[in-house]
This record gives sequence, C-alpha cells and structure tokens, in this order.
Amino acid sequence: MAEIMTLPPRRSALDSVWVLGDYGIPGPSGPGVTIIRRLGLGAIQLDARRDTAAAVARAVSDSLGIALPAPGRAASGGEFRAIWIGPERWMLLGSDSTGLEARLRAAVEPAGGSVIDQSHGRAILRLSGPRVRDTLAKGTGIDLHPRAFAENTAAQTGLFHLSVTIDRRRGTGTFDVHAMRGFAQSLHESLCEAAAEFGYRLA
Amino acid sequence: MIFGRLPLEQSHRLLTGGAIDRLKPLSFSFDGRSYRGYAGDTLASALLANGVTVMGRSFKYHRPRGVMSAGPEEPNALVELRSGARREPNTRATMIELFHGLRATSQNRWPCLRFDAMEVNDLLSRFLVAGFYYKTFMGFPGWHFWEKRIRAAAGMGAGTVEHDPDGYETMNAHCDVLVVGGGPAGLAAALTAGRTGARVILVDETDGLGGRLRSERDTLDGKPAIAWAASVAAELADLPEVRVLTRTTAFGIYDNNLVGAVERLADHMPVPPAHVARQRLWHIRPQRVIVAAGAIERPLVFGGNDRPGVMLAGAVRTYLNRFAVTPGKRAVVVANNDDGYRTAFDLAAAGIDVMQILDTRSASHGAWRERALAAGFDVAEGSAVTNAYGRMGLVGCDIARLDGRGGTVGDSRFVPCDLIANSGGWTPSIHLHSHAGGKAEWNDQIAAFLPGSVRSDVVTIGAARGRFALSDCLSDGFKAGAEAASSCGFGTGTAPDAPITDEVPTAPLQALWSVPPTPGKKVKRFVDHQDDVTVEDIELAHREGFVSVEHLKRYTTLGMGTDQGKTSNINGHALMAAARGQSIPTVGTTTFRPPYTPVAMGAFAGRTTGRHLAPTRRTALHDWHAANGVVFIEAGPWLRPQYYLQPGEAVSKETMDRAITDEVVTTRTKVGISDVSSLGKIDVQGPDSAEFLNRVYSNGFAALPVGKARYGLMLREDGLVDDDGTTSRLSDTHFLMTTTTVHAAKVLADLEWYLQVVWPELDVRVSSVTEQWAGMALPGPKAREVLAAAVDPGADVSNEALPYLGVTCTATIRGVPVRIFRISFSGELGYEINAPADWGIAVWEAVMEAGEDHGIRPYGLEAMGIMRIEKGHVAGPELDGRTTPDDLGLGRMASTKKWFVGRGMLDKPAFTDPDRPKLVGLVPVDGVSRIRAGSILVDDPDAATPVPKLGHITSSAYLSPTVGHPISLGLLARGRERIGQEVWAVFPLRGIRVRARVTETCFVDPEGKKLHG
Repeated sequence: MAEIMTLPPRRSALDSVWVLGDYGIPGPSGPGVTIIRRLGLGAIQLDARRDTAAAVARAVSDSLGIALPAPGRAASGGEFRAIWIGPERWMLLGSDSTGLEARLRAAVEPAGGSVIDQSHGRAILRLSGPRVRDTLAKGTGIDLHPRAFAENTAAQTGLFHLSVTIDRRRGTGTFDVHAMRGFAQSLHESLCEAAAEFGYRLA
Repeated sequence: MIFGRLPLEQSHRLLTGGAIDRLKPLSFSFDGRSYRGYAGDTLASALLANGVTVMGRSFKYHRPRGVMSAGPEEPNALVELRSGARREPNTRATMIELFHGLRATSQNRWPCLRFDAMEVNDLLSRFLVAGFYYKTFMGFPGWHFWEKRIRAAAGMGAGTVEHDPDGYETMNAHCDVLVVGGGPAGLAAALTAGRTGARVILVDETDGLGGRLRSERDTLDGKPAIAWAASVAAELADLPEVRVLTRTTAFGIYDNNLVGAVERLADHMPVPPAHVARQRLWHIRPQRVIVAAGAIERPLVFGGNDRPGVMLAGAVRTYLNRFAVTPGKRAVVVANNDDGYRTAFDLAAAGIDVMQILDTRSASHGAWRERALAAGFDVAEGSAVTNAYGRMGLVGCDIARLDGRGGTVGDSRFVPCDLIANSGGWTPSIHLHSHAGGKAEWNDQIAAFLPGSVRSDVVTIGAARGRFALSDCLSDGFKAGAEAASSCGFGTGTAPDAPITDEVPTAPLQALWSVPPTPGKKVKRFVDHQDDVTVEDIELAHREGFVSVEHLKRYTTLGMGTDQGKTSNINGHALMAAARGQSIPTVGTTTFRPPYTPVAMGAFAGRTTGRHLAPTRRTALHDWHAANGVVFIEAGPWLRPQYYLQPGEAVSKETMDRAITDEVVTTRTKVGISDVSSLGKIDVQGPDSAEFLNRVYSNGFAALPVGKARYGLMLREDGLVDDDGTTSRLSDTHFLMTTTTVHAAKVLADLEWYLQVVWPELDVRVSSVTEQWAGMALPGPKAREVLAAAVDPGADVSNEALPYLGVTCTATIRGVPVRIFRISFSGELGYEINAPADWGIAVWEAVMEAGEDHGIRPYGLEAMGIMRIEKGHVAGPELDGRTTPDDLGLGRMASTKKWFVGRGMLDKPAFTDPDRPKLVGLVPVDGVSRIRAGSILVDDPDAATPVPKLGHITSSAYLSPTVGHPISLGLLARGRERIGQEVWAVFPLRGIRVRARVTETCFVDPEGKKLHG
C-alpha cells in the first residue's frame, strides 16, 4: 500500500497544451462548448471469450452492479460506466480510487473473460454546451441529434480523421469522447478550431 | 452633409424603395475608380446605380459586355474580386454582396476595359468561327506554341498563386426534410414541414429569404408579399428543429441523398473575422429533399443582344424593385410572354420611359396585354428587336414586324433607348432533380424541360417544376412540405391554405428561338454570351455534320463556361433542333452534373490541409523530448526523436553529426536511452494463445516459457517476410506481442482475420495496447547498473534473475509498476522498460537520474538506425515485401517442425533459386566514401546498357562511429558466396559510383557476447 501512496501523479497527454480559460468568439450566453478532461480514470477493457459472454456479464453485474450494454449502447451503474466497443468487448470506466481493474480481474477471469488495462492509453474529453453538436458535426458524419443518438448511446466512429468512441451522457448535449492517447493533441487542436466560432472554455 | 450628396453620385439610384439601406453607404472600387453603394447592394447593382454599364469583355471577341442578369446565371459580368492572396477570378458581380472597401477589376481585357487591344478579334470574327483554333492551328507544327497564346487571348481571369490565407471547413448535418430554395415555394414547404416538429434544413443561395418575392411587387392577403416572407422567416427562426442557411448553395445531390452545399460565411466581408471560416462545405443527409430552386430567365436571341444595356426582363425588375436602381432612362421591352408587360409597369412606376413594348407573339389577348393597352403603353405585336446598337452602351435598336417564318415584314424602325429588357421565357432549374437521376421532359407550354420521374425521396416544386404563378408556387410548397414531413413520421400530411395572391392571369408564351436580323444588316446574335457562341456557330456546326447536342456543346463550346449554359442551353439546343428539322425532345439536352455553380477547391479541402492533412501521433514521452533539445522526425503519423542537441546548439549539419555520433558512442561505451513507445504492442489472451502464435510466427512459440521473450518472424501467406518483433509470455494464456511501428495496425488486422475467419476454433482475443505503455530502450555496458539503481528496492535485475530474453512484470520504478524485458536492438546489454503512459515521463526521468553517474544520454532514431546496421539487424528497408527469411539470413527461423503461415511457399523454386539476392554487408573499399541507400549493385558500371543488376543497397550508415568508416547493408545476388569480393554501388541519378567490398552483415560483436553479459 505504501507504494501506491508514493505513485507519481498521472500526466495526461494534454498537460502541455491545456490552459484553462475561454477562447474564440464568446457565445450569447457564455461559451458554446465547454471541454473538460476526465482525469484519474481507470479504463479497463473487458473481453468475453468463446461462449463466456453470459457468464462474464453475470460476473460483472454481481461484482460491480452494472449491466453490460448491448451493441451501440453505454450504461451506468453505481460509480462505473460501461460502453460496448466491439463484439463481446466493453470498456469499463471508474475512478482510479475504485480499484476497478483488480475487482474486474477477480470477477471476470474465472468466468472466462479477459481484462486489459487501457487507462493510460486513452484521452477522454467531456464536451457540453449549446453548440457541442455543431462542433462535433464538423468532424464526424454520424447523427448526434437526441432523436438519433439518445442518452446512453455510444458509437465507435471517426472524428477529425481519428478513431474515437463517442458516448452520449445524461443531460442536454453532454458527450464523452475517448481518443487514443497519442492523437490527443491533434484532437484537441481540431476541437478547439471547430469550437472557436461558438466560443469554448477549457475547464 | 455627406448623405445629401450620395444620391447625386449614384446617378441611377431611386430616392425611395428597394431593400437597400440608405443609411449605410459603402465605398468600393472597380478598375481603380471609387464608387459608392449601399448595404444590401450587389456589386452589379451598385455599379448600375453609378451608371457603369460595361463590366467585362467577352471571352473570344472581347466585346464590351454589361450585366445581363441579377443572379447566379450571369454570363457577362465576371470580375476579379479582391487582390493579392485573396484575388479570385470569374466572380459574378450579380452574386457579390457589396462590402466597404470592396475592390474589383474587370478581366479579359488589355490594357483596360474601355480600350481592349484584343477587340480586334471582333473585327476578325468571320474567321473566328466555331472550331477555328482546331482547324487552323492543330495541323501545323508548334501547336504547343499557339495553344499558350490562344489561351492567353481567351482569358478567364487570373487566379492567385499565393497561399490562401483564409480557413475553410466541413460540416455534417442530418435532417428529415431539406428544402433547397427560400422563395415562396421553399418557404411554404419549410414552414409546413417545420411546424410538424420534423428536422428541417432550408438553404438559399442569397443573403436573405424570399427568392423572387424580393424582386417583384406581388401582394399576399393584401400585404406586400415580402412581408409574408419576413414573417415566415421569423417563424422558422423560432422553430427549434429548423435550421435556415442563407448564402448557401446546394450544388449537388449524390448517392444516398447526400446533398453537397457550400455556405459562404465571410464572402460578403473584406476578410473573415477571427475564428470564422470563409466558406463551409455541408454534407447534408436528409430523408427527403424538396427542390424549390426556381427558374432562370432565357434571353431572346437577336442582333446585338450582347450590347451593354440589354438585360433580362426579370433582372430589370430586380434592379428596380430590390435595389432601387434604374438600369436605364429609356427602355424598350421585348418578350415572347407576359413578363414584358409586367416589366413595363415596373419600369413606368420607377419613372423610366417605356419607348415600346414588343410582344413577339403573333396574337396575344391576355389580361396583361389589356392592362398595358389600357395604361397607354405603345404595344407592338408580332414584333421584335432586330438589331441593337451601342458599343459601350446602348443607343438604340431596330424593331421590325416578324413574318412568323423566320423573316421580317416591311421596313425596320430605329428606336433610341439605353435599356432593352427582354424575356424568352423561363427555364426551370432542374439541376438537382437531374443529379438525383431524374429525367428531363420537354414541355411545349413553357418551352423548357420539366422534371420527369425520379426516385421518391426527391421532389421538385414551384417554378423549378414549371409552375411559375405565385399561387401555384405557394400551394406546391405547402403540399410538398406537409407530405415530406408526413413521410418522415411528422404531421398529418395535410397542407394549410395558402395566402391569397393578386396575380393577373397570364397568357401562354410563344417560343421564338432566334429573331431575324434587320434586313440588309450583318448582325451577331449571341446564344451563349459567356463563350461567344452565335446562331451562326450553331448553324455551322450543323452544316459540318454535328448531330448530337453533346458534340455540338464541345465543338462550339456552347454551355461550357463557368455558367454551364444556364441562360443558353435551351436556346442553343432549340436552334440545333430547328437546323436539323427535328423536335427539341428528339435532339435532347445535355446532362446536368454537379456542381450547380462553381465551388472553390478550398471548400472541398476544408481544414484538411497542411499539418491537418493527417493527424499527428505523439508518444507519452513527447513532452520530455521537447523540453530536452530534441529534433523530431516524422515516422508515419508519429513524431519521434531524431537526435538531441545540447543546450545552446542550433540545428546544422555539424551539430547533427556530432549529436548522432555522441549518441552512438555513449550507448556503445556507457549507456543510452531511447523512446520506443511507437512499436506496436498487441495483447494476446486466451487458452489457445500459444498455439495461435505458433501458427502466425515462422519460428516456434508453443514452448516459450512464462517470463521469457523471443524474437519472432512473421511471414505473409505468400511466404515473404511480413514483420518481426519480440513476443513475451506473461502467463500461460497471456502474451505480449510487439511489432514494427509501421506494421502495427496491419499485423493486428491480420491477427483478427486469422481468428475470425481462418481459425475461428481458437479461443484467443487480441487487442492493441500500444497507447497504454510508454516504451524505453536502455542499452549499453552500464545498462544493468543503471536499471538496478532505478528500480525500487526489492526488484532483482541481476543476470541470474533477469537473464538475456528474461521478462519481469513485478518490478516498480518510483512506485510505478513496470514491465522489463531484457532484449536489445543495438546489440548491447539492453533492456526495454514499459511503463503505463501517464507515468512514462516519471519513469524515464527516474532512469535518467539513475544513469547520470554513468553518463547516460538519450538517443534518437538516427543513432538507433546506425547501431542496428552495425549489428546487421533487418528493419523496414529490408522487410520490403520481396524478401524471404533465407534472403535475410533468417532461414533458420523458418521452422521445419511445424506448419505456419507462409510455410507452403518456402520450397517453391523461385524461393530456393540460388541467384536470389541475399543480405550482405558492404563497405567502401577506400574506407571513406558514403554509399547511398538505394544504390544499385553492379559488377561493371561501364558495361553496355542495360547493365546487369546484382542487387541494391537497403540501409546505409554514412559513418559508423564504432567501426570508424561508412557501412551499409544490401541485397546482392549470391551475396553470401561473394563475401570478400568487390562490386560497384552506383547511384546514376547523382552520378555517384563507389567501389564496395562485400562483408558479413554483422559489424559489431558477432558472437553476441555483449547481449549475454
């Protein structure tokens, strides 16, 4: 435990470019888009293997209290979020303090699932605000209107030529965007350029 | 009082009326002369307001031309807009919104617009008929010489060669109903659909809504129709699911109803505001498209119909009613339909003398004619303008009675005038209908093509469907909007009642495709104004045997200009049909293709230019490198350290060479560290993982013990080497595979393919974990001491605990759990450390700190490349998709005890041919000459060509600090038999030849003592 206490702080891929503040042309009622980094998150990939999907889902439900979502969907349960990211493959998210990886490993490996830590491999941004859909629409062709992309919908898609996961959260126009860490600065640049005409806040 | 003077300056501006803002005067210049206009003007209307009639020179004959239209169809008034890097040729003065400080210049004239030396072409015009250039110049030598001069003479304006300083971007949109066109039909459709709650997008190419209502004096329910348009616009703005895009042209419909549109965000401003793109390309994906694109008026084809002052009647009404501009003081109106009368009323209302109304129809007894006669207009039936006069501006015209058989009756009469308003009927804009695959059907009533059958998700309404009456446009719009919304699940599909119009019933037009010339006069009757195609050109094409309209178009250039024949195609095709004695539908029409109007290439490129052409990938250690003197190099999408400069050093050949040499020497003699994060890392899990790897690697993996790494070679199915890397066994059912940086994604896709398709029976899952781990290589004689100092207490990295190819996942550095692999690319005692990416820099810094006393320094790709060449390791240049394992000296890695991917091909004769090039080392015989990668290996460079090629240099180190001279690797036929012999390495492009000695591939520590030490 002592070793965990002495861990250095996690350094996000955007530390060198993330300067808090308002940018672009201010919107009529404040920034059109607010972007925050979701830091200190565990992102644990969970794969069911041959014929183990049901057992893995049961194990996750028993251990974390979250139902693994269907294709194209995301779900929240307690302090965790689960996103379907591929056939019999999910990403589970929870803060570092929850011991998510260890709990998943203990629950899922006996049930025939595989657990892969991707916590450091993803940059996760949360976008909200009245112009968030217009901003994202400059980089992705999918329809993000609430009628087509309701709460708890998640897509594996392209955004500004990057592979991302877009996860529609609760509330009006709140989206989490998961990108590969190495492309985080490119994504940040593109998002900021796209949002500038609406005004954006890095928070 | 400055305002008091303005109307005087704008000699042709009405004191009242119009949709211009007289409180917002704007100054602008045309050909260097300053003028004033008002907010709300276009460049064309502002020039007309100032009495400027000549705005350009024609394409071929360089005849002075004035503005003909008031819309996107304009063929004459094409100008160069702005200057410097923003200079834009061929912009239509009718579509440019006036802004303060606007600068425009005329084009296709030299030295100036009033006097153009190339107008001599007009005098020579009887030689310059259709096909003149091909007939005259292509036969004799030097066509390329003439082509340049012909092109310069037939100018289209000059673009800029400077970098475009403005931004462009792309936007995606989805909706239930897309309405194209914000005129009465489009407004009614958008309003009806929008009220149901459907998602609606309405686009209009102008700066405001209303379409033709902005140009006419119609009323609706007793109030000005433009007020109705404003109220609809206001309601649309309040509907949350409706988006209205003005200054936006829907230029094409593509597969699956994808509609391309370009929004001109800042073309109406001097420069785009900060953070705003100049133009935005929309990809709109609607369920239903309602095309309410309106119609374009056709000119009549008569002598001198291109003179400045000859304008379309509808355009005249636009300038009068919308812009409060009088395009002339004495007007002649000529039309084959009732719009002539309507125009005469508007002219008279603006105080312009209407000298004569000419109705070309033999007899019309409609309500409009009766009204005109009752109002006292001078109406001549069955008559037309037979020639117009006035080089730099109209002075008058001949008028004559038509005999109905292509000739005139009696004498012509001269009428002085400075404006001829003419109308040959209206052509529905069926472009988008046609893009969607719809047919064009000829209609004699309106003498134009109507939209025929098309797929059900595109409907064309209103004037675009030939229903020109305002009441018809409105009822079409309300009905189409309700139906489209209903088909998307919104509303009941019932249309509301349309407002009441005050229309005068119209009598049908009578087609007249060309007017006979004034008897005894030689006249030019223009069909295509932009391309200078006359009636005579079409008749000539017919006489020369052109029967297809597609051929006619290409031979005469009819409809080939930037206007794509919007005002000319139907007249031209009708004349061709008449010449052939056939009906117009038999002759047919040309195909409409996107774009409807020209679209700047910048809009298509959007933000995907420069460094945004492709995204950049940075390693987790990027920020450390950047803060410590790195020079980055692009490696695929990655930015990787090339080498590191010392504090105070600037980039130069000398500092670079010194840095690279120091990096190699330090690593070979002490210890170095480098960023290898970009290597592909693939997590392999599942009970069948060992079996799976045993099949995809050519060497054995089934028996790899837990806690050990092994170098693996992967072949393609054709037996050639695909990729290599080390793979470690972390547990019985868990492996970590590494790949080359370049092939990471491809290898993962291949593995998925094998698992999903080829061996679905194997219970294995593979995932990329490249981004999760920061990777650092730590090679050098002192590497173990540094590592031992870096790891937290309790971790044992001794040779016994962590031997060559050992792996440990239990150590920590600064508390960070790391994976340590004892592997080496450089041939030194070496380790690779993987740390979770967010802690990568913390771990790297801990290792740097631990190595400080040993003189550790980071090294980049150049040093890495030199050290691997010194060691004879293969990399990308050797794994070029043409080499077998044996070619690379890796034949022993192709197992003979098992089957694996690519195995079946290895025994084929071509693979075992002893003449195949084999990997060897090559060094300059003189000990100093550099051997360029890519050099060709030959026995005798002076032999007769083709000189037999023995192979080529794959990789080269201009200086190996370790061995003290240049070294290289190459593939050489029967190379292993030639070791010790000499060959020539030649690089003919640079005239370089180097005598090279063939050596073993490994230049450093061939026994591998360092690795195991």
